[in-house]
Amino acid sequence: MTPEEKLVILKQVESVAALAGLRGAIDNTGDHFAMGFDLAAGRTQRIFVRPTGTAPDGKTVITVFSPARSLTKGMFGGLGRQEAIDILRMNEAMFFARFGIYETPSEVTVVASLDAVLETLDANELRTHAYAVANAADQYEAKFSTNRF
Amino acid sequence: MTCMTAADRNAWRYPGDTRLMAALAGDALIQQRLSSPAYKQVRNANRTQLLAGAVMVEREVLPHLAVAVDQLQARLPDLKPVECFVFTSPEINAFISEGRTHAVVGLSSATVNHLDAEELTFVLGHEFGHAGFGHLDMLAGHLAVDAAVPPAATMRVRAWQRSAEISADRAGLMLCGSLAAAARALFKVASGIVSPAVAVAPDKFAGQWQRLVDEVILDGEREFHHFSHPFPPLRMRAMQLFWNAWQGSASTRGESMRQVDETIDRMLATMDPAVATDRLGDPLLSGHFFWGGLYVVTSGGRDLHTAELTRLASVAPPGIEIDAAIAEARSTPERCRDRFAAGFRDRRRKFTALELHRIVFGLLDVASADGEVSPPELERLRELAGLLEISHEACDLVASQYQRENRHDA
Repeated sequence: MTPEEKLVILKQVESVAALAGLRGAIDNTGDHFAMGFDLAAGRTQRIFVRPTGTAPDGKTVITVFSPARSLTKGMFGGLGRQEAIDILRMNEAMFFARFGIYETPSEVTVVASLDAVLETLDANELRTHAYAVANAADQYEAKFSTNRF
Repeated sequence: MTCMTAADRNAWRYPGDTRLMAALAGDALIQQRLSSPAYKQVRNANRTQLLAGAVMVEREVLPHLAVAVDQLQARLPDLKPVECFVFTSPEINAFISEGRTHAVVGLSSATVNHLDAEELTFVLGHEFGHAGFGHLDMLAGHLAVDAAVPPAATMRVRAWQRSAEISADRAGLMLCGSLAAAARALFKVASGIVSPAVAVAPDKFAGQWQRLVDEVILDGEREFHHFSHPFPPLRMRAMQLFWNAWQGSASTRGESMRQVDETIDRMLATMDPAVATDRLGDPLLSGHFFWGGLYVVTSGGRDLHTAELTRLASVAPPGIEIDAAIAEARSTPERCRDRFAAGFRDRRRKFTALELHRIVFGLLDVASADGEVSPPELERLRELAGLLEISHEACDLVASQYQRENRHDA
């Protein structure tokens, strides 16, 4: 996907978000549309939307995601076996979102995410998706007593 | 019988065809696919397949068809030599493809059996037009089903194919010289009805277009982008508009043709609104832009700015008297608002968020044509947004997004 194609999609995401009354902006990298959420008990969560690809029928797939925990890689770092199993258990019990990991050479980030078809996404649906992902990520983060994201 | 040079043909070629074809030809992926071995093989295989499953038209076998082909070739001397084949099929159908040394025309047996000489000239002229405009270089039928071509590019290929059909129809019409014959041929191709008792009036056939558009708008149907050919009534209406403009005074022909081509751009956008580059060009939403825009810009009771009038005129549904509509909007503005709401309520398919956003942006486009969106205009915009079930807060957010993007270009 070219940067121009990505920008067109992110602008459309911005349009749907505006109709949902959600404020946000396309970030400087041009890779994401970013929003901030205030949750209960003074907690906050950052939500991102990225263009993910194309469905078989040609429609645009976007992913709403939120980082939940970031771990430095290394011999004693990264994501432990037990934690990975816990994540799989949570995925089984959770609706409207799933956990996964996003890796860079130095870090593993646990993210909550959800896919949607942009062309048929309505404003209320986007709001529901964003809150579902924000809540999932925040609850996971809260287990470790942090509010970094 | 006069020759038609490439320059003659380009004078009446549909500009949308030229524009979209140039864009495709400049696309790196399309270039790469067209130069791949698989596509070379396709070019070589067409003639062999026809030799195996069809009969070649020779003067001794089908004299009337051979004469028609020869006459058309004589009028288009710069084209590659043409070989014509007839294959067995109950459908009236024809195609042209590029061979190594010849262009190859295939006609179904039903086409030869059921079309009269003028109709046959239209159909052959249409196919020769494809060759004359260089359409055969693109192998669109193969690109459209090529798994290596992504869906967005496939949509562009299909959009170009539909534009190319408009040019080819013009070629057929110019070569047969009769709108009535073109209408009969198109009717027979589309319906399969070949009875001599059928009378096809070009006006009536073209008139089906508006009924079709109304239906498409009510349905909110946006899935016609995979069609390789425009709707038959669209083709008929496009030929009628072209023919009338071309037959008119030579001094005004250029301007008439420009207006016709713009109208055809909008008609084709009905099959693929994504190709409309101007947001107000979305034909499925033009009624909302017009009635909603009119309701918004008449809010202050002042005279309309020329730029607002121009913008409203650009989105007026067919048959609307703009001056009368403005007078009515001043005296009974609620009628405008009710028509706007009816367009929302009557549609059979739910509006997507992107469509709703486009409507609000379109209303802002109309309202800001004079350079600003006044407080009364903003108030009416909020009222209309409420009818679309958009909250005031969201409407204000969209308006600020619009201002940020500095879309008003008055």
